[in-house]
Amino acid sequence: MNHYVARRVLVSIPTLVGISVLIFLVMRVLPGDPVSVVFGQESFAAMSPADQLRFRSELGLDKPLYLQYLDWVVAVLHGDLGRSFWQNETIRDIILRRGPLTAQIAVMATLLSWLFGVPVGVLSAMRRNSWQDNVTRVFATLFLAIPSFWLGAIIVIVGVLYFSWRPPIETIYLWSNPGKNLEMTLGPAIALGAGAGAYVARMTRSSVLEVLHADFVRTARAKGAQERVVVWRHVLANAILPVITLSGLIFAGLLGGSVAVESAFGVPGLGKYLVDSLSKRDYMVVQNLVLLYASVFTLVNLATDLAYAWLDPRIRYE
Amino acid sequence: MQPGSQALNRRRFVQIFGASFAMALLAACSGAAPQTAGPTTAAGSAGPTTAAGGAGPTAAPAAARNADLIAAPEAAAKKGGVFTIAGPGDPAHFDLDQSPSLVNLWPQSPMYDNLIRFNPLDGGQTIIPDLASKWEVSPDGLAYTFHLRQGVKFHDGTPFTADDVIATFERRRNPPNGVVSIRQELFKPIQKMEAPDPYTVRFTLSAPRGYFLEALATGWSVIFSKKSLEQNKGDLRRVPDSPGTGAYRFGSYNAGEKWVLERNPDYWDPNVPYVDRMERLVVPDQKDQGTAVLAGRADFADNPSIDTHLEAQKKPDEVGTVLHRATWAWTVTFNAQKPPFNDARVRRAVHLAMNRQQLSEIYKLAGQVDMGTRWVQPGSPLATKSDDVLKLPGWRAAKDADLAEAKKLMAAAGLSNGVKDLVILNRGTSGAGLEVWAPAFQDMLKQTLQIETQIKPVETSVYWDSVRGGDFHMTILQPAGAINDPSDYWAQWFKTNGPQNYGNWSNPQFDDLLSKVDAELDADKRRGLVAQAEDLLDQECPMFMHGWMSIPRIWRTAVKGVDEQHIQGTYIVVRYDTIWLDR
Repeated sequence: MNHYVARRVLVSIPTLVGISVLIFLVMRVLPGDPVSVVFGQESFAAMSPADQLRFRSELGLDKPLYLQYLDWVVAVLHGDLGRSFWQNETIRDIILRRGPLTAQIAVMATLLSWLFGVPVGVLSAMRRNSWQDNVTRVFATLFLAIPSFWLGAIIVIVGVLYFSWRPPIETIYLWSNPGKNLEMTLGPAIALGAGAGAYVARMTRSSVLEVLHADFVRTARAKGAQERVVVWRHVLANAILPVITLSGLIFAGLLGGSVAVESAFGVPGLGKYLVDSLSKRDYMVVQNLVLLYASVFTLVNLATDLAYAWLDPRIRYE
Repeated sequence: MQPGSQALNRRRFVQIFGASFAMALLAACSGAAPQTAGPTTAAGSAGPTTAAGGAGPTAAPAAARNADLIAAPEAAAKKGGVFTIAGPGDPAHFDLDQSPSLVNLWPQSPMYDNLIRFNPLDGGQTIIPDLASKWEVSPDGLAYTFHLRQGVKFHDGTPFTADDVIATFERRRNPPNGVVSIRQELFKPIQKMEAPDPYTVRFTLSAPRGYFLEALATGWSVIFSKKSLEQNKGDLRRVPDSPGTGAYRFGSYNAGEKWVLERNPDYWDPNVPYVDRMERLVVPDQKDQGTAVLAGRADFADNPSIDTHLEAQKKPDEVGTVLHRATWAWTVTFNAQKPPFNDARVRRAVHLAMNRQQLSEIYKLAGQVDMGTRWVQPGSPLATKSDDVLKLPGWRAAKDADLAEAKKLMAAAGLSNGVKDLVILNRGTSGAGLEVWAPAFQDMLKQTLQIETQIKPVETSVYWDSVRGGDFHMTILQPAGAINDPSDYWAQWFKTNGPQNYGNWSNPQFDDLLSKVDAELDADKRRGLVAQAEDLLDQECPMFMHGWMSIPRIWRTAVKGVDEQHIQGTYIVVRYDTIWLDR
C-alpha cells in the first residue's frame, strides 16, 4: 500500500508541473495589463512610462518569462504562495480566510448529496418501474437539469420577498458562530447538494440494479436474511464503489468553489475570488489557486482509490 | 426648636438650597439651548454658499446646536450602536488622491475632514465650515483665506495645523514622482499657498475659479497629516490607516470583506458621531446590497440595485428608499479619431436620431436616467431648465424633423446608405441594465441611420487596453465628475487631452469657452457661457449623452440623521457622521 501511495504521488508530480506551466502561460497570453487594472485607467494613463515600468518591476513582470516561472515555482516549493497584485495581501492569508467557507460548503453539499441521493437511489432500484421509481427519477432528472445558481437565486429571492430573510453577508466561521454560519452555508449547500444528489441517486440506482441479481444476494435471501439486511449490508456495500468514485469527483469539484452559487448567495468564498482575480489579471492568485485545486484534486482522487481498498477487501494495491 | 416645628433647620436648608441650585442650573442650560443660526461666515466671505457662479442656496439647516458645528437634525438623537453598511469597498490601494472610485471614497472618507464641506443635512446644497471655522474670498476671486480650528488632533495625536493643509494640497496640485493626483486639474490654478500663522491658510489662485469652494468641499478633498505624507514619501497606496481628523478612526480592514471604523472620542465636534462603530460590509453585487437591508442584515446600502429599490418601496414601515442624482452620466463616447465618427456630421446625426425617451423606458428596470438638462448635471444652477431642453433638436420626443435632419447629415457625410461593421465596446462590469440598453441602442442605430454595429463586451483589463489603443468606434461609459460643476467634468471629458476624453475629441473653440466658464465669477454671465458651450456640444457631439443617472439608496427606518431626499451627488455627502440609530 505504501508503495502504491508513493507511486501515485510521484506520478502526480508531472501532472502538477504540466498544469503549472499551462496556467502560467495562459495568464501571460491573455490580453490585459495587470498594472492598469490595479491602478485604474485614469491613474495608469497619467503615469509616466518610467513609473509604469517601475510598478511592473515591483510585481515581477519585467523579468523574462522563464525567470518569472522559476521564481514562482521555487517560492511555492518553499511554501511561499506570494502576494495578490490587487492589495498586496498574501495568498496564504486569502486561502485561510476564504477557504474554510468554500470547503465547508463542499463538505455539506457532498453529505447532503449522500443523505438524499443514496436512499433515493436504493428505493428507486428496489421498486423498479413502480410509481416510487418513476417519481424519484423525475425529481432526479429535474434537479440534474436545474442549474444550481438558479436554485440558489430562488432560495434568496423567496427568502427576501416572503420571509424578509437572507443569508448573512459577512464571513462567519462554524467555530465562531455555528448558528449564523449554518444560515450562511446551508443555502449554498442545498443548491449544490440538490444537483449532486441527483447524480448520486442515479448512480446508486444503476449500481444497485447491477448487484441485485448477483449470486451472493440470492444466497443471502436464501439464507433467510431480512430484506433490509440484504439491501444495506450486502447489496449496497458492493454497489457503493461507483458512487464513491462519483462523490470524489463531485467533492473535488466543489472544493474549487461554485462561482455561480457563491455569487447567488453573496458568499465570500474562493470560487468567486478566483474568477474575480482572473478578470483583474491577478496572476499570482490565479496561478496559485489553480495549482492548489490541481493538488487537491489529485489528493482526493488518491483518497478515493484508497477508499476502495478499505471498502472492498478484494482490492489490494501493490 | 421644637420637634415637628416648621422652622428652618440645617437639613431643610440644604434641601431648599440644593433644589434652588439645580433649578438655576437647568435654567442656565436651557438658556443656552441650540439656536437655529446657520454656520458663521467671516466678513466679506461668500459662504455658506457655493462659489460665485454657482449661486446655490445659502440657508443652512436648523440642526446645528452651535453656530458652526454639525449635529443630527433630530433633537432626540441617541448615541450608541453599530451602524452597518452594505456596499462597495474592495479597493486596489488606499490613496484617496490616486483613486477615481467610490470604492475608496465611501469606506475611507469618514476618517477625514475637509477644510469646508457640503452640508449632509440638506443633501449637500450648502457649504458649511469643517476644519476651517470661517473663510474669506477676495473680491477678485483670487485669494481664499481659511481660519482653522484650534486644538484639533489627528488620530495619532499629532496636532492639526496649516502645514497639514499645505502639504495635502501641495501633493494634490503637484504630486511627487510615482504618485498620480486624479483631481489635479481642480487645483492646478493654485499659484501660492501660505500659512501666515499655524491656524490660517491662504490660497492664491492664478486666475479666478468659480468652482473653487466646491472643489474644496467635495468628499475627495480631505486633509491628510503632513507627518503621514512625509513618512510614506507622498504615497499612501499601501496605508489603509493614514490618520485623519475625522469623526471615525480606522479600526480594521479585512480585504474584500469588512471595514470597521470606530468612533473618534476626541473629535473636535462633540455632537458627532452618534454611533460607536461603523461597519462596512464589502458587498460588490448591488442586488446583495439591497437584499441585505431588506432582510435586516445591514442598516444601509449606498448603491443597491433598482429592483431592490422597487421592493423597498413596498415596505415603507421597514425601510426607506430614494433615488438620488449621481455624478455620473450615461453616454456613448465616439472615437473622434476614426471614421465615421471623426466627422461631426455623423456624430450629430446619431444625437438627433436616437430617441432618448424610448431608451429611458427600456432602461427603467435597471435604473433611471434624467435627460432634461443636456450636458450639465441636474441640480446645478448652471443647468438649462428641463422644459426648455426637451424642446431642442435631439432631446425632444418628437422625432420626425430630427430624423430628417439626421439623414441629411449622413448623406452630406457620404453615408446615405449607412455604414457597417462598427464596434460598440462595452466594459463587462459597466453596471446593471447594459444588457438591455446596449441592444436597444444598437437596434435604434440600425433602424434610423442604417448604422450596423457589433456589441463587443470585454473584461475591464482588456477594455482599457482597447480604449487606449483606439480600438473601438463607440464605447458605452458612465463617466463621472468629482463636483457638480461643468468646469470639472467638462475638463475631464471634453477638453483636449482631458483625462476622461477617451474619444480624443478636440475643439479649440470649446477649450476656449471652457476656460472662460472656469474664470467667470458672475453667475448670470457664467450661465450664459455654459449655455454657449452646450450649444457647441449639441453641434459637435463628442459623445451621445443619454442623460444623468440616478441611483438608489435603501436604509432601515431605524437609521436617522441624514437628509436622504436631497442628495446631490455620490461624491459629496459621504461621512455618515450625523447618522444615528433609533433602536
